[in-house]
Amino acid sequence: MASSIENNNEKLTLKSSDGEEFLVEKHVALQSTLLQNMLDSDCSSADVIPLPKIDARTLALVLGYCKKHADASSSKQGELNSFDSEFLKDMDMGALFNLVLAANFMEIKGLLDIAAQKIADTIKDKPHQEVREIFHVENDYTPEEEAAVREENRWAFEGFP
Amino acid sequence: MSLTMMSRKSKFKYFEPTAVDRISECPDSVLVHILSRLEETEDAVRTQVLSKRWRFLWTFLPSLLFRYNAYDDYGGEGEGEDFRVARNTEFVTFVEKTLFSSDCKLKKFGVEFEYYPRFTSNVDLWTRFAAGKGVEELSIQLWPDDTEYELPQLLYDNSWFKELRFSHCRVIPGGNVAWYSLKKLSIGHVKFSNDVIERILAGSPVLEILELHNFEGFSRLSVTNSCVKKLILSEFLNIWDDSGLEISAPYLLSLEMSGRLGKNCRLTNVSSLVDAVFNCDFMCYADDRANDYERIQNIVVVFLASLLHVKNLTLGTWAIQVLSIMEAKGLSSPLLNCKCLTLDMEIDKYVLPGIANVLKSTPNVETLIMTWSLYGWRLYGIESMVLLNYNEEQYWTSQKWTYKCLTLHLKNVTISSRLMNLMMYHRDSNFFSFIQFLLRNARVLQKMVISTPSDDRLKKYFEAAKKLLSFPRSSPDAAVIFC
Repeated sequence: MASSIENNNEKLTLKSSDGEEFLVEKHVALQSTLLQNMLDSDCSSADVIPLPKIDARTLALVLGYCKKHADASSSKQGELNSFDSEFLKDMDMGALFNLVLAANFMEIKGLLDIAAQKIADTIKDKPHQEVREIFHVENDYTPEEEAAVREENRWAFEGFP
Repeated sequence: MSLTMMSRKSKFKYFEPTAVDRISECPDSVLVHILSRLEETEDAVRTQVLSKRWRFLWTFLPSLLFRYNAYDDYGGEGEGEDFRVARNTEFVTFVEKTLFSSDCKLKKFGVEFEYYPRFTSNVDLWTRFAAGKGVEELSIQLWPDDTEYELPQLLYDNSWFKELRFSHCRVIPGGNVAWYSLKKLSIGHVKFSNDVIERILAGSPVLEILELHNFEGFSRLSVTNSCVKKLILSEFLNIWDDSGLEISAPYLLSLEMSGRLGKNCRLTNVSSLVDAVFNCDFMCYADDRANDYERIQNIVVVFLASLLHVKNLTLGTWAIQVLSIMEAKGLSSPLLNCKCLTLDMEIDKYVLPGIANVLKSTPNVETLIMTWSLYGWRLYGIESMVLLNYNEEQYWTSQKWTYKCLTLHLKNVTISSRLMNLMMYHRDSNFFSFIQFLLRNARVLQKMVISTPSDDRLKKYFEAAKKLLSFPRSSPDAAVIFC
């Protein structure tokens, strides 16, 4: 608690790809290894830190996650777990990928893991045709190539038409 | 709210880039990270058919996990041995191909299947390959037909391993064991001598968690490594050996014992222990249970006496049943210092006197947790249960004893949803009368938290909840919470 009061006046400004600025407490920003490294290397907190690949909506979500995790004490793991699952509930695939990309860029391991897990859970046990649709992947195999790839690992495709 | 969002534009546009753009922008490493969250490797391998970009992504997976059980296959067909051998052979081919296609440093390799001696050279090759790749977590869980797989000698000298899990493997190190980075070791369905377990412990200087299940052969477990914090034991198979198992672990913080642990087990030095789960039982002679009772009672008393200092204590059905018989004979449990007591059992007439016995002997208990896991469901000999022929309806109301823990310390009671499920199913009046007794006598109780059963017994549950709420409470602050 003491540290968060101490750091209260220390804030930094993050700028999203679409030009929104977010004022963030330092202890919240430290959830991101990227920002931590920038602060450690004497990057002035007066500067505005641009995050060119993260839009405002995603950044607001990311910071919401960081704030919750920065403020919760480690003894409240159960509470954090339920926050995490609630946090991603009903999120569509586009938003999830935005989060994964942001977490990957900002190096927020916990967020990267839960968002990646959510995506993995969505495609688990689904036939590849459906996964293609979910991921908007365009099939660039010829039918012959596709059949050959399937044949190569027949075991994995058992039960999947 | 300290997170301030300063919006320079009056409205920001949500979600311009489509999912299509985002996924094509995703670096391969992120896609591999997503694939690595899939539980089984074959789910990840299947994504190779999505598009050419996905063709080889799975070869960068840091962990490869394979599991196959022919019995789950095609309904009843799994019964035939020829069928199972053929299917397991296909599985082995798949594992091999996938493993050898791996194109990165492997962190984790795990395999679980029905093992036949014809697969020896395959499994040897995999473990050799995985070890060569610097695997940190290795799990080999086999279901043998008759002959068990023997771990290759090269595995005993490996400083990459952090976590090892073996089941139905013969563990016979020829020389010293050198697992200098190993943190967690789980071995099951194994027989080894005192000498082997000693060499394993001597060669694992940073080991933190040791789990042994369905084990036999040795009689002494001396854990002197100061890093080992947790020991989990279940099913010690030396059932004819009178001396049983002797455990000495002076630095151990947590001990969990479940299942049948042979004929006897003694804790000679567990002076640092904070958490203990005594949810095991011991073999007694089926044909002479009445006479064997003294021996059993002695084991329980000695066992509890070595857990006097433990802060968080869990007792299972079997131990409590023995305490019930002791209570009927007017014998009390050793005085225990625990602050948090967990009763892992169904609340029936065979455990009520045992619960009374333990409440008398735990004057400092502040938290009482009641739960039910299947492990503890063991009955002590029926013969001695004759002693427990009493009127259970009036058991708690007839109690004249003043329980120190209830008068002075008990603040929290938690009842798990598993136990609630069971109690709703049986509509067990013993359970309700015990709760009624607690509410009436716990003078400083602050909170009783009752978890909702997880299935369709909600209607009964609401009836029960109404009943529970109507019970008189002696503590003015007691809140009964349903969650």
